Amino acid sequence: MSDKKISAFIIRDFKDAGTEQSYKQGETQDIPEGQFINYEAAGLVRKPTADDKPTSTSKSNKPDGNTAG
Amino acid sequence: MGSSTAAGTTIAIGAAAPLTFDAAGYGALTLTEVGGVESIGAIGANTAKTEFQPLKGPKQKHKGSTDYGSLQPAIAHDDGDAGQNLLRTASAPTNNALYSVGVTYPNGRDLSGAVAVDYGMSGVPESYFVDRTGQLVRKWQGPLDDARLRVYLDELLR
Repeated sequence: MSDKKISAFIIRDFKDAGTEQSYKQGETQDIPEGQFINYEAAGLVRKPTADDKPTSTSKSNKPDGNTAG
Repeated sequence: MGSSTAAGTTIAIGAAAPLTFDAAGYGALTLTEVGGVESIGAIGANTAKTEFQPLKGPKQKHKGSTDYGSLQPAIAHDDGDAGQNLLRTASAPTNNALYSVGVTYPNGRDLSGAVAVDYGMSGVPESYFVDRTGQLVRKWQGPLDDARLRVYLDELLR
């Protein structure tokens, strides 16, 4: 599998027993493509939509409530 | 190989099928480890026995079709575990997609001794002392008594 990373919207809280990494619902993270495929198939992540962007980057300078577009 | 233990064994699952059904194909996959596994269950193929009992003569037995089996791991349910969620998705009755499953063992066979030689082993018994940074700091050939072992381990713990 490639090292390519894919932006993933976390649908609900979960953890990966192998990498011991935890993911919080509502966040958007760049994760390796192979992991994304597995998490997506498990119904844990999906590709972010325009509506997800305001909540995706908590470190963003944008004020809360901004909407994309 | 002598006796071994299943401790440290892991099971992992991937949503993608391998491009080739060999070590290279499976090695290229990304698998997600399943958490909370207590036991994995029996692994391996079973071949059916096909029998025919003629009216005259002994029963005839033939090697039948092979069933590559199914895994029945014992798992502590954890709704927040990624591997378990993928396992549940894969096992859903309406899902006919092909998934990949990997099982890793904590030890393996070295029937020819090639792995031991690659690590620089020249005789049995032989002891290696590795410090906390992963550096090989001492190699001891022959039996190792308790007193000497304590001295060497104390050196590592300083």
